[in-house]
Amino acid sequence: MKIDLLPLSQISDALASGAVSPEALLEASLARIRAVDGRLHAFLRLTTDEAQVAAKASAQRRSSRKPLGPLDGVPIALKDIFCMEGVETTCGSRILEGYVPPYDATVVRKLKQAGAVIVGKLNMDEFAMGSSTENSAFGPTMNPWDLSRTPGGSSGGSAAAVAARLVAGAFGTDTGGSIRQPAALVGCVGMKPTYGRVSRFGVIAFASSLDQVGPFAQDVRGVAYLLGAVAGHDNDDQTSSPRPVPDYAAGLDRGVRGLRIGVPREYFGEGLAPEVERAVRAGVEKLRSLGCEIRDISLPNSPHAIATYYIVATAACDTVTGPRPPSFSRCTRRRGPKDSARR
Amino acid sequence: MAIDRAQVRHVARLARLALSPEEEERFAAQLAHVLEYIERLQAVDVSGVEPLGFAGDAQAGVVMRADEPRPCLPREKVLSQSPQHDGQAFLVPRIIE
Repeated sequence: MKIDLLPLSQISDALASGAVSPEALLEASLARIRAVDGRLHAFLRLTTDEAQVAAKASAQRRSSRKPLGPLDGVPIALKDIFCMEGVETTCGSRILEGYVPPYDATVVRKLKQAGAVIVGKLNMDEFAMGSSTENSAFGPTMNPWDLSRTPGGSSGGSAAAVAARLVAGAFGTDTGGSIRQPAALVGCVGMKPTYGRVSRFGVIAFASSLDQVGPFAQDVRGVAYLLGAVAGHDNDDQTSSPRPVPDYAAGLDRGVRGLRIGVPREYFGEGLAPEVERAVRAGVEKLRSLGCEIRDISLPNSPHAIATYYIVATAACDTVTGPRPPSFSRCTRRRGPKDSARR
Repeated sequence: MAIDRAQVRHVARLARLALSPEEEERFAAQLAHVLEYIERLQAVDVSGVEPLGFAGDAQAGVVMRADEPRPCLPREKVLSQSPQHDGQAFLVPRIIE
């Protein structure tokens, strides 16, 4: 199997053993993007020049056995919501078209310091408002498993790029499902870390009391590497938690035996598609067979979650964006609770 | 709670939005739907629930950074991204007569 198609942690192992070079991985990634992204539209733009410089520097560290960590030389990409110095950042909107941030988001700075090779910026619903990536001002992203379907959203470009193996890992943001839902729709690993775990400095805000940055990869270990590189307190984001950052990959080999897992009964209510329920129940049984203790629990306020979310998120969004100017794409301006209920 | 067309027009004017009559109709229905959410939440018993004032890791506390001067971005770099500037400051439309 080609190394660039492997899950992130195995790519990292191959870099460590010298089986592949960062430059060869970058070339493979760019070639694959050229071959398939015309149909997929996961990328809004490539940062080829910057990536080539980063790959070359990484190759020197790898060959002198001084890597910066497991991500050194790994090709990744970023949702176009992260400010990256010298690289146009649009947040999926024509309003910001041509905006070239004069600084790096903390996440971007940390990824560069970890040696990751940033290949480009990924498509998203305009200002992260949406759940299908059809709401991008630059056109929709397709699901790599079936080009007639959506990869979900708002971080649909991130999910599609990882699922199609265009890059080994990606970052997105999640306010009300925008990492978790697209990861589920393309079948990769995506997580929304606890609020405050990752700095949001330089990340274009949607709803500041809900937004959180998180990783996508093919494997859990890959996600652990990505989160480990960006988590932690940041003086430029007062909501970032001062708690120490553990080695997220350290416990992965212990397995799940003995973990206590709650299954909230309210999540199996009205509107749940039967095949989704079957898949979730099968997952629960799988965990039970692996030695988890499964507990039936109740989160009685769950039925109020959507109403609460749409009041908090839209009010918070309004404080960020203010009056919607006419250059918002028609989709975003027309977005109302009727279509947002899908989110 | 019902929202009439006049209220929609008022909000649209504040938001500098030009709406067609069909849009006024549609947004009146959608805004009413949002208010329904609020009415639904008003029925929830929250007595004895502490209001949440900070979404962050309150238990771990807020870390204040040292109040020390540090370099900021060069002025020309920041101004370069604005639609209009005079080399010193951003130029914006007058909002107070």
